[in-house]
Amino acid sequence: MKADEFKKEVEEILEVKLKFDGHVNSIINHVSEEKQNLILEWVKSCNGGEAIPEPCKNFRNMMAFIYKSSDNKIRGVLTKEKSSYFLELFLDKHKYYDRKRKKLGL
Amino acid sequence: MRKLEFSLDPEYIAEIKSDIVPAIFTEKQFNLIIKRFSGKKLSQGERNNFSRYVSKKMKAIYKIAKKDIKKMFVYGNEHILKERKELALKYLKKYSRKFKNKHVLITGSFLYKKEYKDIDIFVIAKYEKDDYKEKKFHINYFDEELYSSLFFRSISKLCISNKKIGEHKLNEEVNINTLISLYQEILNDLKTRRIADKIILRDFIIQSYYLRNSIIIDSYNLNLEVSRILNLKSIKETIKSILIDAIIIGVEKKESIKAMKKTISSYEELMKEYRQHKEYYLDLIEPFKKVIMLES
Repeated sequence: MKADEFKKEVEEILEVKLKFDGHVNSIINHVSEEKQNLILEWVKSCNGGEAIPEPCKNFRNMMAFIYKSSDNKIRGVLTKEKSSYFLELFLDKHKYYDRKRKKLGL
Repeated sequence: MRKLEFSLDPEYIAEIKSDIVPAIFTEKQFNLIIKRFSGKKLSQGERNNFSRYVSKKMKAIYKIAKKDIKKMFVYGNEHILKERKELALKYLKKYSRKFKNKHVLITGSFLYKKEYKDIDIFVIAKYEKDDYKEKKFHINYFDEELYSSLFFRSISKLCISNKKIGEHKLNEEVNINTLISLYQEILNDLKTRRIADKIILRDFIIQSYYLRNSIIIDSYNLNLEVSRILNLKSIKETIKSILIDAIIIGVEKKESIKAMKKTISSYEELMKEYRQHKEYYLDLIEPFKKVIMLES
């Protein structure tokens, strides 16, 4: 699946026009379809309420779901407004994830 | 072409031409320097002249300026295995040549543990690049922001570096909120992945030591502490205790109570929307309630 298709699928799952941050295209274009599906499964679990969100200290009305691939190479952050819509999907390597985490106050 | 032990910036050299020609180099030698460091190919005769005149003069200049181009700096010698030190010096020389003019250092378990996963090579430059693996070497690129981090202070206590490591001002935000964030992530990992993320656990330990006693833990002791915690049956309870200790000892009462109340309130809001995770959240905020109780 190409990055554009992946993004489209994420938006279909969450039923919202989403922002994407990080090297999403590069990450998706370089991982196997199996790994792409694992990320989509995680997005579904965020939407379905199985995944556990954490509050964002720097944005009081936001919460975030964290994704870590089993090999620890890919990190994801899906943000959502409290009692409202999903806002943004960030996918990248740990180095950049760490900055995102600090920015959000996660 | 053989790699040099020194490097010059041709643009800068051209700028200061009047200062160095004829004081140090002849016009011909100067042109040779420009050609060599602009990446152009030298003829055999030019290569001989470069080695005979330019290189020798450069080595002498370095000596006068007390800049030993071969010098390496060893930190935390008492924890470094003797045979690894020799190897590390060899590798550092190799990578210093590869990453010309960059600050390169070797750190991590390779220096002090008989069994190690890979050899961490840190390359600090103006611009960051993606890390990569080269056989047993893990090349980690960082920009100069690393110098002002707590993590750098920790690794600089036990490493072999091609540059002397000076004092750098700590610019990284390390406080009760950053420690709570790391705690939240560890608990989330333990719940969802059933395992703690080593990098996050490492940062949690570094920050907790720093907040509690302003101590910078070196990578040898950090590794021992991380391994100790990961081998415990009650990782979660240990993490909670470390958090409580660090806050009670290292943070002012007023500030800690305020932060605890704020965090509890944000989780209470989440519990309204995610009732299915109430049990998890209540467990997570338990140490925050304990801090309030102890501080009151």
